Amino acid sequence: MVVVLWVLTMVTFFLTTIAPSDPAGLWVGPRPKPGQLEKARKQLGLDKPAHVRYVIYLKNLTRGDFGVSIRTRQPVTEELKRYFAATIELVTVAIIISLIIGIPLGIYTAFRRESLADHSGRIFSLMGVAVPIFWLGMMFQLTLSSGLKILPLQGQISSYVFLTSPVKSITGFYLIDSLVTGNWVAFKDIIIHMILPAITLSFASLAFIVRITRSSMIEVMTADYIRTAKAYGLGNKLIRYKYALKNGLIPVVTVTGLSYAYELGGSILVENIFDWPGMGRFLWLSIINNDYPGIMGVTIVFAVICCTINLMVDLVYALIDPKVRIAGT
Amino acid sequence: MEAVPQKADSRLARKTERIAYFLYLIGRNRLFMLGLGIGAIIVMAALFAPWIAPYPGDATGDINMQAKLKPPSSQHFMGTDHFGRDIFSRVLYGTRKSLSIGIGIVLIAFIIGLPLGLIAGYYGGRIDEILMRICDGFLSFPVLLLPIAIGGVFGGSMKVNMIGLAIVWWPWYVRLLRGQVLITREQAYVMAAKSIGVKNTTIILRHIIANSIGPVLVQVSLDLGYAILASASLSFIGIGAKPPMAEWGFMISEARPYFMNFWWTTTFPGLAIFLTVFTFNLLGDGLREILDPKTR
Repeated sequence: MVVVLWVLTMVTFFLTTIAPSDPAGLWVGPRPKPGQLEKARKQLGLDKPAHVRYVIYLKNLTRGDFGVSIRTRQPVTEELKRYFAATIELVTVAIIISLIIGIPLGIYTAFRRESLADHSGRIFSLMGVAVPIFWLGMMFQLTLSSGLKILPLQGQISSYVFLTSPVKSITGFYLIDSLVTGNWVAFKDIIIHMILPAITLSFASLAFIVRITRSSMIEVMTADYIRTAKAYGLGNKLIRYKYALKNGLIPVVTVTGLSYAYELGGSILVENIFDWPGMGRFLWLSIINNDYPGIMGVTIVFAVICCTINLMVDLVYALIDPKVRIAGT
Repeated sequence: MEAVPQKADSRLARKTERIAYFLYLIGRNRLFMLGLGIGAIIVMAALFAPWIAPYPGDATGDINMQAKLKPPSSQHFMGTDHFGRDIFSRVLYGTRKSLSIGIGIVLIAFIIGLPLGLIAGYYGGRIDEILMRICDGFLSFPVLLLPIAIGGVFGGSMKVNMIGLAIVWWPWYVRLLRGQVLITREQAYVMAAKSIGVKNTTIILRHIIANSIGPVLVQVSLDLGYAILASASLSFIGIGAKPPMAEWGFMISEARPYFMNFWWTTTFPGLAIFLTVFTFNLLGDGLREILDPKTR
């Protein structure tokens, strides 16, 4: 894992060095005065050779310093700190939604193989993975926000709620903070704002989760121990939901980890659509402004999150699956 | 002497029988047939776009400000956008762009992934170990992340869009093919070939590829759809198409300031993406069922 991250820093650094446009030029803006460019170059440390800069870059990274954003002229770390919680909150809620809908749907279709429900479930999941989520989000906005006016268009909290009952920042996660401080007005407002982006985002992995759950349950139901239980005369419900489910849900853990990475990628699109103040939107703004430090900062933070999630998945695996523990991997 | 033509006859008969059985399996799979049908229409639309499109110039840079943001009508089947360009014509031309990009990404990824997967699976050992670690590294990140980093640095163009996605795509093929090769490698016929001293390269080319490529082909047809989706997503956030290019993701992004009041500007390009990706999903999923003996 450390190796993966290290290689990634090489890649991001390599990309910024071979970039065709000059960061110093971007820093001073168009039509620089004579000498200004050299000064900026020195200020940004661009006058040193590449390998020295890489060591400095790596040193700064380990201290959590991602450099200064060319767009906002603020340290990227400060910017990301501000946006980190919003993204994590959104992605986590989206994952929970896709698990809550996906797992029961997968189980249901697994027990009714080749039925109408199963077939329509399959077509639904084929369609689900084919929907461009940025477009889906816009369609939701068009119908539910702008058309029917049921849900807010964008943002994380209404401006008047933000002013009248501000959320005290404890953890940075709006939902948790407003809940802990008993700020119900804000809590409700945040939930309402979250519905559309979270549902849009959950679409990215919902179909995937349904599919894996279904095939895993079907496989488990053919296992010897299930046949034994049937021969023993145990009730169908007991077999299915107590004995089969336990093993059937093991692959879902992996899928949840993968989905997290997937939805993190989706957040770049969804946050952009719903104007969600998270890292994905920051990344987008950095892209359209050629802000390399911003882009690389988000890239690395996303990578670290994914690695952490993968590690957690491995640990959970070892915890729930004795086979993994015995094999020692 | 008479036995020889007879033998050839029966071999031919067996071959035609197998083909007939295969066609029967395809014909029986309704979703696959549906996919084939829509797929044929999409390919036709891409091939004949200049002749079908009512306003071919609108896809390449014409501007008609007096006809801007008109709703769907008999003249403009899908309405017009903020430059008065016919959306139907642009969607048609977008088919060309998306199909060629999708094929490009998958082709590059396949060309890189095929030999690496064969090597990793067949020879195993340290080379396998190293390749798998590299693949794991690639696969544990969001697909769009590295292409965005690359695009952010090199500026957005369709070429960067395609190469960026191909770079993150090939590890999937390596992993998938390796798994298949590991199974095929242990088959009796491979052992037999080895025991009579057939060279490794010959075994790989003659036996291993033919017997482990099936699932990879399924993945290829699914990936054509996903690659198109990913490429459109990248174009949407500004890495890829440049004005006045008619590309679906970019059309949606361009129409963002207007879509609240002019729904047709984003709806149709999005539907085009959806339909295309869905079609490749149908084909891939159907192919999996056709090739898998368990479902027969």
